[in-house]
This record gives sequence, C-alpha cells and structure tokens, in this order.
Amino acid sequence: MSALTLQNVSYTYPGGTTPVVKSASCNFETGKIYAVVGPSGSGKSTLLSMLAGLDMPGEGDVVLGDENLKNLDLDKYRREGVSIIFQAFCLLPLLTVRENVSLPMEMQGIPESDARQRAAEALVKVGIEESKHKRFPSALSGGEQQRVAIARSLCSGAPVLLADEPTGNLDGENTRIVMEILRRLAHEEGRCVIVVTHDPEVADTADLVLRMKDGVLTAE
Amino acid sequence: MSWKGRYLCRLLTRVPVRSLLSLVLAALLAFAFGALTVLRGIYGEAYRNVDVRGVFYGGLPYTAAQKLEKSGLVRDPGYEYINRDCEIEYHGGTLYFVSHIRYLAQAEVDWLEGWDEAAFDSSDEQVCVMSAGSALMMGFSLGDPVRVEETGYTSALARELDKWQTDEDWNETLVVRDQRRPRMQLVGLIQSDEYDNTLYIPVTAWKHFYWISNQLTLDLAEYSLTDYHRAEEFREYAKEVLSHVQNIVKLELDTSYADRIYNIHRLIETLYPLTIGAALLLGGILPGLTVLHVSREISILRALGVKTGACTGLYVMAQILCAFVGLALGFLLVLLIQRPDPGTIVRLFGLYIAAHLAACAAGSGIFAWLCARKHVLAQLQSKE
Ligand SMILES: Nc1ncnc2c1ncn2[C@@H]1O[C@H](COP(=O)(O)OP(=O)(O)OP(=O)(O)O)[C@@H](O)[C@H]1O
Ligand SMILES: [Mg+2]
Repeated sequence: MSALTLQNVSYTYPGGTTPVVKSASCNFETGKIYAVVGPSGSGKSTLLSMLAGLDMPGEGDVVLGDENLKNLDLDKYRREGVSIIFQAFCLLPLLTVRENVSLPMEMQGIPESDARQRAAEALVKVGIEESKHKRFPSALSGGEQQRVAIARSLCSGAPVLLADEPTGNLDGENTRIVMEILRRLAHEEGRCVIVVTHDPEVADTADLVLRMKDGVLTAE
Repeated sequence: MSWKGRYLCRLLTRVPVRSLLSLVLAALLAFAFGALTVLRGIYGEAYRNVDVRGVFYGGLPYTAAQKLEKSGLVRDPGYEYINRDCEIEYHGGTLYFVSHIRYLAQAEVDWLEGWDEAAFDSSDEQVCVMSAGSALMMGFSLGDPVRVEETGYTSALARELDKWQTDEDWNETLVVRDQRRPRMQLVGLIQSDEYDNTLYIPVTAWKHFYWISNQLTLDLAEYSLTDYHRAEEFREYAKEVLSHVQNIVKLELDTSYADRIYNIHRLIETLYPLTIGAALLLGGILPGLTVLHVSREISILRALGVKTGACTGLYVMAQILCAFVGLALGFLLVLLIQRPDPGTIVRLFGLYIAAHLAACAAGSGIFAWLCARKHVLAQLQSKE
C-alpha cells in the first residue's frame, strides 16, 4: 500500500536560483524501508523536509495515502502522520531526555504516565540506560543524543518515519541495533521508513535504495 | 501538568539567568517610572503652589496699592500701616493697622459668633479685631462698634463724652466728623498683650480710611503674583504706578526659588514621556531579543507539529510572567523607598504595567511569531 508519493517535486530555496530538488518522483510504500544515498549537498535533507511537511515543493505534489499534503493541516501531519529524526538531533534543550521522548506522545493526547513509561522503554531499547533519562540533552554525547532522537521517533506511532543520517554519530554496534529497530518497525509494525545515509552498510539493510545526485532522484 | 505547563516552567527556570535578567530589567524600568512619577508629582505640586510675593516697603500710597490690586497681576493683598502719632492715652504713641489675622503670631483669638480667621481675612464688612487688653481698658466688648480716627480708635468713654458735649456747634462738627469716620464692629479679641497697639481690619475695609490722611501710606504692602512668569511685567507696572510718588518705595520681588522649581518641573515634564517611551521600547525589544535567542527551540517545536500560535503563546507567556513579577517588585520598591501617596500612584502604575505588559507581549510575540515562521529546515540543519 502506498504511504507517501512524490509527484514531479521540485524545490528551490527562497532566494536561490537553481533548484535543489529537480522533478523527483517516487512511491514509498508501507511496511518497507528505503535508503536515500548521494553526495553531500545533493538535496537529500531538502527532499526529506518536503516529505515531512516542513516545506512545500515549489512544483509537484507530495501525496499522503490519497490526500495531497497541500490540503492537509501540516501541523497535525507533523504531530501525528510523520516522525522525523534530524541530522542535527533537534532535541529540546529545556526538557530532560525522557521528556523529549514523551513529548510527541503527550501532544497526541496520551496520558503523561503512559507516555513516560513508553519513553523509558524506548530509551532502553536504543541503549540509553535509566540513569541518563533525567539528564538534559546537553549532558549526553553526540551518539547518545542521536539515539534519544531515534527513541523519540520510535514512540510517536506515526505511520511514516523519516531519518536523516540516523547513524551518523554511532559506532558499528549501535548502528546495527538502530537499523534492526528501524527494520522491525517497517517489516513488523508496517510503517514506512525512509533513511538518508552515507553508510553503505545502512543502505544494505534497506528494501530499496534511491540515489540522489544534483537534485535528481533515481532508483537503483 | 500538561506538556505546555511543564515547558513554560522550564522556560522560566531552566536558564535562571535569562529569567532573572528579564525580571530585573522590568523591575528597574518600573522603578524608574515610579520614581519619576513621584518626583513629577512633587515638583508639579510645588510648581502649582509656588507663591511669589512682591513686598513694597517705605510708604506705598494706598491709592497706588489699590491700582496694583486691580492690575490683575496680583492677588491676596496684605497691608500694614503704622500710625506713629496715635493720641490714644492708653497706647505708647504707635498704632499698627494690619490687614490680615494671618500676620498674627501664635496668639489665640476669641471670635464673635459666626466669625473666624478665614471669614475675617476675606470679609468685606467693616469689622475689626483688637487685643483683649485694649478692649477692656476702653470699655469695648465683642460686637461693639469701634470708631476709627486718624489718631487711632475712640474709646467708649470718649464716645460718651462726645455725646455729653453741650456746645451745639461743637456737636455739629463732631457729628460731621463722626459720619466720615468708619465704624468697625469688633468681632475678635486677641488673647495676648503683645498686640495692645495693633488693630486688625480686613483688607477690603481699608478703603474707608481715606479720611485718615489725604494719602494713607502703607508701611508694608504685599501681594502674591497671579502668574509669577509675569513678574517682570508686574515690576514694570509697579514702576509706572510709582512714578508719581515722592516716597522712595522699595519693591522686593524674588523669583529665583520659583525659577528653580519651574526649571526642574519643566525638565521632568520633558523627560517623563521620553522615559516612558524608552521604557516601553526596552520592555518590548529586550524580551523580543531573548526570544530571538532561542529561535532554534521554536523551530524544533514547530517541526514536532506545535502550531505557530501555541509556540508564540508559550514564549510570550514566559516573558509576560517575568515582566509582571519584575514590575510588581519595582512598584513595591517605589512604595518602600519613596513612600508616595498610594492613591494617586496606583492608577498611574496600573496604566504603566498594562502598557509595559502590552509592549512585552508585542515584542516577544512578534519575534516568536517571526521565529515560528522561519524556514524550519534551515534552522534545524545547524547543530547549534
Ligand atoms: N536554507 C538554505 N538556503 C539556501 N540553500 C540551502 C539551504 N539549505 C541548504 N541549501 C543548499 O541546498 C543544497 C542541498 O542541501 P541539503 O541539505 O538538502 O543537502 P544534503 O544532500 O542533505 O547534504 P548532506 O549530505 O551534507 O546533509 C545544498 O547545496 C545547500 O547548500
Ligand atoms: Mg543533509
């Protein structure tokens, strides 16, 4: 079943002259894990941000199921429809590690105690031990912060999961753990997982690898 | 607690320096406003109450005094006339005619029913006040008419003697003289022998003294200027009025104190709106900059699906709370240090607090809104 579809999507940054994404088309299905690879600056993060509803394409459409994103409440879509793991983690510095993870659930109306419980479990799953749950993000290493960001996405329950270099700061062991979790989310929970990566090992885990080069998206 | 409540608490407490700075700033601005308001009140009052008196010494003719009275430049005249050849046997030869009971130092006055100092000083009836001792010696009691002559006032006994006179012509003359002399009803008795040779007559009754001499000359005449800014005009006018007078009359008119009060008053009046404007500007811009400082947080919230309005609301609320506590502290400080009359300042402070909070809400709101509208991805690509 189709989860997200890109239809001839092009994007130029405000003030920019050449498009960063050029007429990209692709169909992302539920229950599958995708890898987007390509050189730095080729437009991978930009593409992801359009899938995430952070920005609207200049041309073309992003379609969720059979609903064009243009017609949806993008705030609600970001809260409930999609979950993003950012290249730069994007944890809230004012909230503790566990609060960061439980926040999206609380925003969806899940009771605080349940949300905390699930947050704690997700954190342990990505290898953040209990003693670090009450720390603030600034007191964690880069890799740990990245895993907290991953835990946050795992918990959100959104049908689409977007990850921008989720393993960029992780060692081999943790990379394998995270990729196993993502694979299970796709294959067992039926979510659509799209991972941007430079890591060939990560790309190997994917069901389908897409290549981005100078803004052009092609399937391998 | 909802996540918004918790987030708000963290906004206020997680970076205490930031909250404290906002709070202290608001307190300082409120204090500056309060202090200046109090000062403005004090100097405004002082300026309104400033009483510049022009005093004439050396024998101002009563006719000239009346011209000055009618010039419109002065109000509240006060006169003193010293009759140095008083023939009344009970007095030492000098009788002081004084226009206002307020020139009486300390001594008590027994008033005829219906009279008091204010009624006397502003009365236009022919009344007088003398010392109880003089009245006793001359046989006057409260309510009696007192005949005032150029030589002083005629005792009750002398009056009886007048009546007793049998010589017709002499009597005729006396009657004529009598009719030209004012009769002043005695309405007050001063309970002090310090004033045995002083007669108080309200200023409006002085016109009945023409008979005392062709030109009654006042040993002292003083006026309050209706508008002290016209002091020079009054000086010129007085010079003109006195140009035909032979006596060397000296006018003492000092505006230096009033000028000083006026200058400070004017300075405060100029500074006041400027200070309020600057305070509101700071009270709006600094919270805005604080919000700008955390624009990345706002972008993260936006990426997680928090609406622009909700994001803005959180940051505005945090700034408003800091500002409110600060303003209250500043207000308290003013009350404690300057001890103004709370009645007058509370209303102004209410207005200021409302304006400051509005500025704070506007400043932080606009910046938070701008941040929330920023290109989220561009914000989030960077790690800092
Ligand atoms: N806010 C922006 N304004 C203008 N140009 C931008 C902006 N953000 C990114 N770009 C440009 O858009 C192009 C694509 O950027 P993007 O971040 O999508 O690349 P990427 O493929 O994710 O690279 P990386 O692998 O290094 O993360 C780059 O050339 C970049 O310079
Ligand atoms: Mg990128």
